[in-house]
Amino acid sequence: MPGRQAGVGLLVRTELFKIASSRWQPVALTAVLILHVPPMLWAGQDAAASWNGLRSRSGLFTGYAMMAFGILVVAQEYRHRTAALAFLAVPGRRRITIAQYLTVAAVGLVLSATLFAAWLAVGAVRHGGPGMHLDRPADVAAAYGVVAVTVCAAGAVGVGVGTLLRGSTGALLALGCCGAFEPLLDATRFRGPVTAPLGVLAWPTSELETASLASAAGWGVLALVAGLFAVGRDLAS
Amino acid sequence: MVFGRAYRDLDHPARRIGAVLDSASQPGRSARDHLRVLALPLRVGRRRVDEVLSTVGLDAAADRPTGGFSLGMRGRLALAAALLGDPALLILDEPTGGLDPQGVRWLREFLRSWAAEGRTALLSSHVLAEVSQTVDHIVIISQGRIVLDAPADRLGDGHVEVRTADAARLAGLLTERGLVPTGVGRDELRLPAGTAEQVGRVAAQHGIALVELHTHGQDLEEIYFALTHPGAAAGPDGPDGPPGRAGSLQGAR
Repeated sequence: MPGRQAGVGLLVRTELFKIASSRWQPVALTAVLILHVPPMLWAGQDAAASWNGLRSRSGLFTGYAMMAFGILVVAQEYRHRTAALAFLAVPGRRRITIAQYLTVAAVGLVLSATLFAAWLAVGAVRHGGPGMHLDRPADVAAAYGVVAVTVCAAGAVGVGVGTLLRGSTGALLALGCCGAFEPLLDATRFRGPVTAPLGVLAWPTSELETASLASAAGWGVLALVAGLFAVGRDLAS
Repeated sequence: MVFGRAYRDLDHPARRIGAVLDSASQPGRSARDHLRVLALPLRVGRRRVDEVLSTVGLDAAADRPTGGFSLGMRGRLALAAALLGDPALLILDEPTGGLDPQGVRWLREFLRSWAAEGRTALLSSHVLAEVSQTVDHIVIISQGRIVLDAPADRLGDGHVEVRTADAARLAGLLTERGLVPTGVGRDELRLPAGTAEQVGRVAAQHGIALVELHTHGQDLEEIYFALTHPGAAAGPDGPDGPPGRAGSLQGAR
């Protein structure tokens, strides 16, 4: 039979089809968008507050949602034992993990870009374009760049931890414990895998907590690399 | 190693080997979508998905969530998934688990037609009676070693003989359960070796008096125990026998 095993592009399409054909995932992702509508309609602040809240409003909830989504995308494959079917079709398991990460990152980028544009538009309507720095496109692009990097990193933490632990309960519990303990120490506050996105996005848009951004990206890379090594473990029978 | 190469090194392995190892699926996803998820990496189109659904008799249930499927339907869906790539080799692990008698008979007929097309099916099972009725070639593995590798028709002429005044009715009941008699007389039946217990149960359930029920010659179960548990008879330990020893039986069509 001619042809090679499926490439990452085809596997990303497969992951996107899995999301589309799932019963709850499209609903959950739509809910992430819809939950932002009430605050958009009722939030009445001055121009400076609207600009400074742009990163947190468009990225914070989305980032944590992508962390959880990354866990669930991976863990459900093990929970329903469909991972074995995927590995039979594509024995190069790392490609599947990479495709899962790219899919979660793509979904996160679309959601965060939509929310970023929506919050920017709402602010521009209320306070005028200059109030939202529309006359300084580099500022706007940089603000979204930080959101994009953080959301992608959070998704990588989710996919990596989900692949390591192969179960949503254990993974969510592990990250929950991290989130509970990280604020207790100066060294880990806004530097750990769970609170680093908070350290980046909860700060005003005009400031950048570079240590938190580097931590978020570093934890994302570390979790994903660990997941790529862990995916080769034998499946439980 | 499969087809002379490591599985992971095969081009499109799922298009050369179809494996039925587990009837796994996402409960919220329809059968059709479950197969489309598996078809995408194989670059297999929707038409093939519809074909395999039809082959396993699930076309009417194709758009229902698989969470509501019976064990038998899940088994058929797993087989459909294995057939997606139109492979030359099918590997089935305990494929009759959860199947109703009609399902068992359907599977047996499917495997025979599959073999008739010149393809191979490797069946791994501990249901020895089922294996003896289905396969052409038997391999018994014990403690990681092949202890038997022989054509099924060379493994003795063991069979079960039944004498009863209600032979025709019993034959019908057994056939409904997938146990097809190899011979039916006025007051006697002949069935493949290893089926005596099932025959006795069916007769008891339906109040059919048996005059005789016995196994002639050596059946597959006896061969299995002789090779995997030398010196031990098939007793209350069951087919897995005493701890520390385990045998596995595979058949091929």
